[in-house]
Amino acid sequence: MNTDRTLMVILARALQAATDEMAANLIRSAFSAVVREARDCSTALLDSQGNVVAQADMIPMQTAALSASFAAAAEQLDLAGVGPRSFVLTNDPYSGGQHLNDIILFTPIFHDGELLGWSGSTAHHLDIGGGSAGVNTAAHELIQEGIVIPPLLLDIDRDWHGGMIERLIFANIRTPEIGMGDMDAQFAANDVGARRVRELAERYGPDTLRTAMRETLDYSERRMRAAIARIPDGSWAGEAFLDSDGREPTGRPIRIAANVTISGNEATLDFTGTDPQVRTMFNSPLASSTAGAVTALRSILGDTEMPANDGCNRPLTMIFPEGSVLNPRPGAPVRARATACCRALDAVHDALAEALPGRVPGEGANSTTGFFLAHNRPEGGIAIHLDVLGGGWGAASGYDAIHATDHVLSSCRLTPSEAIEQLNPHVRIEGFGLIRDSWGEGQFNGGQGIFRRFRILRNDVTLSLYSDRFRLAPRGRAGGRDGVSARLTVERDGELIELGATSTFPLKAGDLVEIRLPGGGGWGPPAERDREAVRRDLDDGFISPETARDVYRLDVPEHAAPAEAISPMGQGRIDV
Amino acid sequence: MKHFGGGGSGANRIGVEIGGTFTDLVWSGPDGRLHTGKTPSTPDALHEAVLTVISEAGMPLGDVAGITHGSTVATNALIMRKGASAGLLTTDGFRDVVIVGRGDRDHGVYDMQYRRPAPPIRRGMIREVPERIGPDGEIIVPLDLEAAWREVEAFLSQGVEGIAISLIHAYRNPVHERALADMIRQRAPHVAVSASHEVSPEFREYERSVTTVVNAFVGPVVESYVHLLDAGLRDDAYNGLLKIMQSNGGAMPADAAGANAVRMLLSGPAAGVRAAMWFAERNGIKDVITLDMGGTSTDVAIAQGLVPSMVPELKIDGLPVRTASVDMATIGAGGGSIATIDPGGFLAVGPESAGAVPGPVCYGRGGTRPTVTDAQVIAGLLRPQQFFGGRMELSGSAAKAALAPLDSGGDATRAADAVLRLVNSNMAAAVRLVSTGRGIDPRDFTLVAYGGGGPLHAAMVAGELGITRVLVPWSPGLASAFGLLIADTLIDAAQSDLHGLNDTSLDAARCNDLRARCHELARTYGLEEGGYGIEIGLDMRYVGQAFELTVWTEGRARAKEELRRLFEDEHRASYGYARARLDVEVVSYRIRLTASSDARISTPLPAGKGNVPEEVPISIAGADLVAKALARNDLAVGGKVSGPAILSEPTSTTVVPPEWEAECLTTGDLILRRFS
Repeated sequence: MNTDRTLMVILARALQAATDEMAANLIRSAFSAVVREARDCSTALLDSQGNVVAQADMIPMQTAALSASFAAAAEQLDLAGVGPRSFVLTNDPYSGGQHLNDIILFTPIFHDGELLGWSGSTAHHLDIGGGSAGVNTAAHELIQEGIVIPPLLLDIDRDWHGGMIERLIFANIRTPEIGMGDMDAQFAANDVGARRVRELAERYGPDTLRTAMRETLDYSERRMRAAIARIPDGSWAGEAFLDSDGREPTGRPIRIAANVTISGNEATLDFTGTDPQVRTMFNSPLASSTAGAVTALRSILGDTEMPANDGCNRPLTMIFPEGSVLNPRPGAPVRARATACCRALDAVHDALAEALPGRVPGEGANSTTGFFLAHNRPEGGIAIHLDVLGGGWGAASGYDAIHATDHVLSSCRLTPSEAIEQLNPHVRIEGFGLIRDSWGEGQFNGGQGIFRRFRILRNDVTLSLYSDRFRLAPRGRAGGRDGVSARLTVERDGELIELGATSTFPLKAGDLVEIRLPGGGGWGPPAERDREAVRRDLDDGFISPETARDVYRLDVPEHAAPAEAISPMGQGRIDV
Repeated sequence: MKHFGGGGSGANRIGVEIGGTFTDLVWSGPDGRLHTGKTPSTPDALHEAVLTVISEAGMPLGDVAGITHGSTVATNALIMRKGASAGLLTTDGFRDVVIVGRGDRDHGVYDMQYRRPAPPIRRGMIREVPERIGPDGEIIVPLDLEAAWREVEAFLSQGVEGIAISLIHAYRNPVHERALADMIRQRAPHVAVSASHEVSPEFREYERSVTTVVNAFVGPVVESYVHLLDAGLRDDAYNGLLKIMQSNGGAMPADAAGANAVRMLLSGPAAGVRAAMWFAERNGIKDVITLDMGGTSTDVAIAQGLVPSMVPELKIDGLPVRTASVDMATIGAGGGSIATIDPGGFLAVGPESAGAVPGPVCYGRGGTRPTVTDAQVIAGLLRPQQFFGGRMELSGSAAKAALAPLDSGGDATRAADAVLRLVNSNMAAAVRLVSTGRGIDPRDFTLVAYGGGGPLHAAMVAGELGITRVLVPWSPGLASAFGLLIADTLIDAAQSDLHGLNDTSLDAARCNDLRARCHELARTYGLEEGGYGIEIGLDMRYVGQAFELTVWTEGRARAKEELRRLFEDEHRASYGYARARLDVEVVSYRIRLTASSDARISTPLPAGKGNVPEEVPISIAGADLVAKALARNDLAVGGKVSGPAILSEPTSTTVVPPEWEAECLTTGDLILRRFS
């Protein structure tokens, strides 16, 4: 090899660092709570052909297939005339996009008049128009979910900052000030990435930088192949289910089927046998499904530190039958696309559990729960509270899973209760925390589920929600028990109203809304759990005495005082 | 109460720093002359090494006016989760705030077996009290004190040493926290109480609660450590002041350390930055980037006009701790950092470290994995016979055997070269993080290099960044201890008060209130009246943003237009844009008290014997060169040596690459300049 190996390492790291800096910048200058607190956004750098060469460790679903949306843009647009003030904007799920709320921005990076590559950022926008504030649970067509922006080649001076395209888009959005603020943050983040790439080109020369971009892709490919090669060869089938299509809460579960074949250092993920697309928002567009499949494999490989870029996808063949819930035909709604994506991940893991015993965990809560409380203010305007909550993860051999965390395909954070109350005078939070006994018990426990309880303080508030695992709980593995499923209730005038996983419900002042998300599945028989660990779980109130006795078979005296062990809690760091 | 802030020039003073391997001492006598000492650290009883190094220095403690001390005691207690037994009282319905956290996954987002650092307290030690304050400070549920006392009694029966109190929206209205704290202090005076409105009065319940819990968890450990140290010193007739270093680069009185334990988590690196400011100033240098390379990591900080950039939050072992700290970019590249080939075939250095034991392979103490120090020896930059002042010989052949497998052709020299380039590049990336990452061009700055390894890499790192000047201060390996010796007293405090920016945001009345708060703090800390300066900062943001930028003022009234302009300048510098159409709001106020140390200290000048330099083979960036090797002490004031050259001294080695020249300044400090 005649390229300087050490320099390639240095440049690969520099590109990665640039995307991290882009992400930090985007989060810190953003306006919506969903970006600034929950961090539902991603950043990446692409080469001039549109391959993702580096990306920040943010939301795998948004980034693992970002190049698909660039490819669609390149196909539909004439990018030959791109200049330094050009940019590409899109949110089209049928042009490599995700759901409509995820607005993708590509800006070109020029150095001495030459195109070096592109900065890319994706941010989940709080509102994107459509049939209702929050989420339109009744949508049966894509255009009912909001404004569709096909890939557009725009000019910042002509079209943005008061230009006609910006005005047109934000005339269709309920919270335009927040949306424009978040777009400003996206532009600023892309600009940081461009500056860093230009600096590298100045220091090392554009040709060396281009070589490094190629090398970076090859490097990740090598790591991916090395990790796949450590899985035994073979072919396995797996499946997973969504509760329903969301229209009929008690309807038929939707099946995702996966056939996984490992051959040497290559893998085929074939989803033939998956149910046809649905007439609700639970379809997953191709880019999301691809990201789900790639992540399913990556997340159980031994090499978890592998830098993510398009090189990782090279050893993979993925088959998504057209017209299925994982590859719907254009026009179908996709707002809740993460759910089918998560089940695609579960199905791949179900298949590989046999190939990699102990490594593949039980199922986690593993669903996106979009929870909205929108208030039509009497003085005009609308305030939307959006919470992205996560439940417990699945346990594996040697691994007690984490509690209350967004699923692996996403990585949204919890918004502080204090921030929610500052921004939303229509709600007060009356409780927030873990749900006792909600994890799947096992030799290793799943993570606990989470609840948040809202008192509604104003009239004219609308709840909307999409979620999953209200009926079918996360499955345990290897003798571990299932987690406890999700639940949504409204307490009104002493009466308890139970709502389904897909709901729109008008609220009034005084209502008490409680959302409970699932615990993750356990791993191994609970009776084989370390006795001391069970005692600690009991002392810390994670489990009830009944569970300790009946499920874990712990010898609990009838009136046992809790042991007064005073020391920090945590995995692997227990000193009593 | 003893007053300090001066401490009296012309008296004996001591700075003493506990590092992972050694405990360092710098002592200035009545004539301002310096003495130094070094002894192995004693991890099981940290104060013993301090007492040993002081007694070895042979100084009558009765004549010492002040000792300033930096220690990792708080950080270790936190990282090892070996703090006091502590309980947390929180608002009814919010027991799990510190257990759940923010659901963040900072690294390894593709890992299905993601693990989080353990919370600093176990769930069984968290209890709820009936009360609730609203976001505007209104009382929604009054505090039931007697019900709360029953929860406290449960803690007492478990033998807690500390109780943390963190209630929802207490930063806005602390009335319930105060009532609880008063009750516990009255009824159970032996228990240390940490209340969130005192420790960290800022919104976001997780970060505030963790900070308060960490204070309660670490405070009693610090308290007893300080007590042991103080008692040991008094036994030796010490009658002066004991001060403890904080993460903000200033000292606080030792008797305040227990109640403010979160403030000392980053004391060592902060002391080094303080020293760098002092050395830069005495050489007339204004804009500085610091490069502090130790055994396991390298810390980088930036100071424009000799004012170090600060941050309001530290991350320690994944836990957010809200406390004013010098803004430090830390990378896992120290002398002991291990070099490996990763699964994709790329070379990687750190963060894993061989530490002091077994240490690098060349130490011959059982280390088998190649480290940065081994690479330095192979490249000829670290001279085996001169290491540690000749007190420890290094084995070059063992280093070679360990590094050779990292090169595809088995060439140890090439492998060493690659390791050093990668380390230099990682260090340059850290410098970019604190400079270009914040919109600052590093080329106008001087790199101040210290720690054992800083001066070895500094000029090469500077070269990557286009920086043309490097300052190597007196005894770079003792910079942290020196920073303690000359540290000012600094007290930082914050108070959330969310409101739209208006004409009363910083009017005369507000300034008076904040000044009154400063004077109250000064009394608490025993500062002499009139013996300190005051600064007032405002955390501001556009309405709708979640993160704030701090604008500092000298504490006089300002109109809202002026504040807005200052904020927008800052926003433009940080994020590249400002927006006239958006409203600005104030989130918090910050106050800072500074009592300057009036240390008059002179460091010893080199003897400048002018011995003829040896010629030694070295390799830098793939080129084999012949370098002049001399003792730093041989280069007299005004003397120059052009690169390639190596200057050795007991605590460090300075490398002068080709195209660079070193000069010994009139202060005795070395300046490295690049000729262009």
